[in-house]
Amino acid sequence: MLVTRYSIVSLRVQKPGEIISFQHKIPAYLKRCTGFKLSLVGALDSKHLNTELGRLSVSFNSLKEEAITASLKQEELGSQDFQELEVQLHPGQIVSGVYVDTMLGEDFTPYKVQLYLRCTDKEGQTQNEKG
Amino acid sequence: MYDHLNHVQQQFKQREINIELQGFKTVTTQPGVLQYHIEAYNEYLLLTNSRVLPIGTRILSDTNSVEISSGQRRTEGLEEFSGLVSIELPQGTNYFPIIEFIQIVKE
Repeated sequence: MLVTRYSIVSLRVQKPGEIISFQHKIPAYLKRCTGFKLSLVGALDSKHLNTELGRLSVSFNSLKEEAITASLKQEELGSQDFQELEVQLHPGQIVSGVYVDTMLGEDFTPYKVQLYLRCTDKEGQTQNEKG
Repeated sequence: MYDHLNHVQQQFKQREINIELQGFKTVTTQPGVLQYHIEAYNEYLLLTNSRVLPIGTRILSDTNSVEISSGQRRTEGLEEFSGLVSIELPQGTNYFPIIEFIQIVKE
């Protein structure tokens, strides 16, 4: 039976231009990450609807694979489903990343970004199996 | 004794990244210019002299970003950047350092 688990990384942005680094561990029994989703917690002024809130980059397997580079727009986050990801996980390795707030206005209000990682315990296909 | 070059060699070996070339890159900052951009596509730049940068200096890249604080001004602060690297000195600074990186070109 296929097991799917979701990991959540929460990033609390408290000042304009803030840079937040994080490290996260995915349980060792999970073999593959197949998707990611970003969501925004907390309401921002509607004038920020179309502007970029920040940028996120994430690497997997203890800096071996740079797999996510994403820009956050409030307007797009609401309707966005999981985006595809194809990362084979090495057991017990670190997921690390950095978020940079790019909202540099004076009317900044604190907000929280959640990164959801969808991972399964099923190995992915190798190149030979695909071919 | 902490050795930058030894640390870099060991870490890239751990990350299974083969090094094609290891060198140095510097950015000379000057009065009147607060923003600098360097291209580091398919390579890594490792900041070696964070302790001489003005507090508040921001270095942003596609893979990593930092703002220099007092805690980062230490020898071990070997931050790594890749892709398009943007350096922003803080407003009002009157100190314009030479910023030094170890440059790693991967295979």
